[in-house]
Amino acid sequence: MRTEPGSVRANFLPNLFPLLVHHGNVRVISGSPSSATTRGAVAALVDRARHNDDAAFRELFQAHVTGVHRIVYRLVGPVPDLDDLVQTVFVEAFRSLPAFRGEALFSTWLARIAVRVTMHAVRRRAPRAVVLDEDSAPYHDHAGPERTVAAREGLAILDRLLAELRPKRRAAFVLHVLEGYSMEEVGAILNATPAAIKVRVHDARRFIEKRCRRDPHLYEVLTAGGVP
Amino acid sequence: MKCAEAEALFVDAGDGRLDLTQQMLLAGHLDGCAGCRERAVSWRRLVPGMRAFAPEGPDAMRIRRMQIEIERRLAPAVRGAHTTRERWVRWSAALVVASAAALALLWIRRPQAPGAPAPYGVVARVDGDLSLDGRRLGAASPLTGDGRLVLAASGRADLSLGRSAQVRLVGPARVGLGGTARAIALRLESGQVDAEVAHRAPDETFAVITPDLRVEVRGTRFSVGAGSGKSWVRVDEGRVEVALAGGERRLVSTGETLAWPPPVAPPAESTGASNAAPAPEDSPAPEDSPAPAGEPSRRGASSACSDARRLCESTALAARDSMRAGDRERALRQLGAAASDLRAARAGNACGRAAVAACEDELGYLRAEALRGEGRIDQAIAAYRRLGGRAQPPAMRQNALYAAAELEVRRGRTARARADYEHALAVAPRGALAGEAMLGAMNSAAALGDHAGAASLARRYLASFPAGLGAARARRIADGPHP
Repeated sequence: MRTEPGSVRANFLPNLFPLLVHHGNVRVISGSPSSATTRGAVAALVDRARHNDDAAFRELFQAHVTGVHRIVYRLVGPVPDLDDLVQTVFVEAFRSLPAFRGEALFSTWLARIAVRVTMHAVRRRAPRAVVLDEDSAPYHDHAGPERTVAAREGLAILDRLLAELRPKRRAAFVLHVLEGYSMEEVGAILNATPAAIKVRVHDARRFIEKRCRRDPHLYEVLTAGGVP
Repeated sequence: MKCAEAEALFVDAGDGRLDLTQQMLLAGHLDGCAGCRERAVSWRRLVPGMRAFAPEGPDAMRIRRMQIEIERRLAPAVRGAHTTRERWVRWSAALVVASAAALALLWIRRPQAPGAPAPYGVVARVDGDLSLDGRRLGAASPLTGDGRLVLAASGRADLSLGRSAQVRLVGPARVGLGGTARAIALRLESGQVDAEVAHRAPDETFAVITPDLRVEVRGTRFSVGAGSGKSWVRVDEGRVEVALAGGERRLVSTGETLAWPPPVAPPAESTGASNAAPAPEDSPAPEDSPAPAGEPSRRGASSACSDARRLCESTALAARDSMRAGDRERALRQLGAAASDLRAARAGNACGRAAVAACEDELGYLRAEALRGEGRIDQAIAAYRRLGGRAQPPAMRQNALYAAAELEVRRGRTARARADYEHALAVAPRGALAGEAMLGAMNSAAALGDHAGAASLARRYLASFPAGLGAARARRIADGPHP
């Protein structure tokens, strides 16, 4: 069901929905869309890693760390232990590698572990009050100088908006809308039915629409990121 | 189609995942439903907008740190990563063998003949004159747990000892062989020993003993040097326990160097920031460092060094906390103050750089990262380059140079980036970032129009990483026509 990055179908809704695959980093969980991220190359790496090939572990890690980092970030926001969570995802994944049967994409399987690890951490974390007009600068580790003030502000606003969603809604919204997984894939990742995922995404979308109606500036900021 | 069903297809429509029937149904619904049309227009803009606000991925340094931590956490698990079935088969086989052995013992009722002792070791490779108690040795010569090895100047000898320890002697060296295959003890009288020791079984030990200290390990990669009244240990991977001549025990971790007795630095060595201090390979490797001070002053220097080390380590912790809290300015202030204090300690001839070399390098890293986070890119590049010229082990130098190169790329200074990538590759050709550095150098060369250089790097990459992340691009560049 899930298409590889770059492979697109005919589009009969060009005016309303120009294909988004080239906007942002949708559905590319791996760091760079190179040969090693193709299914065959990843399968070969996984096979080598199963035989304790250190180089294969390293390549799998380096190919997927950016994508896992992005998913974890979008699920928990800019927390200080972000790197610890990412590490835990890979440790769990590599420990569970013998159980990976190759029925799903490795990246989807990894996303499932990322969500599980992150949700577990979220459940253990004390709830934190978040307000949209919070002035304090968020934690952005190593934000590059080329990142404009507008982009930082946009990311901070998106972080706070996502933080207001309930964890399950947030996970469904992040995976489907921001990461570009299909409803079925999100269902498999979150261990829920596609119908349940549809409801969660729908609720999250309604919440964001409500916010945008209340604050038109929010809508402008959130849509500004997609302007080339 | 209902409104909720149509809405559920918005993202799939944008991502090109709808089949023809779904597209026609959605189009039909949108034609007749103004509310959904309006919502579709909104989400058409919101989805790419929100996707574009992605967090910046972790940089090379953070990736390397995570990788090291993952490898550390996986180390025992990976070695024992067998499926339940494999474990079951192994346990069953072991049980059968044990039962058979026990039955045989009971049945035969006679003592077993003692088995042949496990071999102590063998000379794997010799480059130069190597002798054992005056008898010349060559490749494949067996070694027993006694006698003294002597390696001539500028010679090298690779030894396989016990079950899984690889040792390289760097001449001139004199090493006494001691212990058994399960409890190896090398007495290093002079010279240098580089050891790579696989994780030992609980009853196995591996130790290198010099007149000043004893290094004991379970599994790690490290070097020990001795001569001119002093010894040093540098750990490249893992952690070792060092017992000093006075009975004190210390743990030395990856990237750290312990010299004993601590070398005393010349008084006017520091000319600027702490980063201007001499390279650790100049000071801890003791052949050219000053002779140790007398016993009382040595104790004074030791105390001052302990203070300096504590200051350095506490500063690293505090600066890291500040950076985690997003307060990089504070981190820079903390690092600056510690650098002044460490300079003062050295200026007072109290403590040489060797004693705090690894920690100072860590401070240097933190400073470079804080500068980078603050957007002071040129200063960050300079800080990374400084580390690239002196930090130990080579993997750390590679990390720093790679980070500098990545920043130069962002600055659009391709020639400088290429130089940094190539330098990063040269300092650790088999380091964790070697492949990435090779790719960076290759891409930079291609961008600079040096197609021959790019093709050469591409071929080198393919030879080392035939299934690597950049193999496809390397193949294109190696095969030509050049982009």
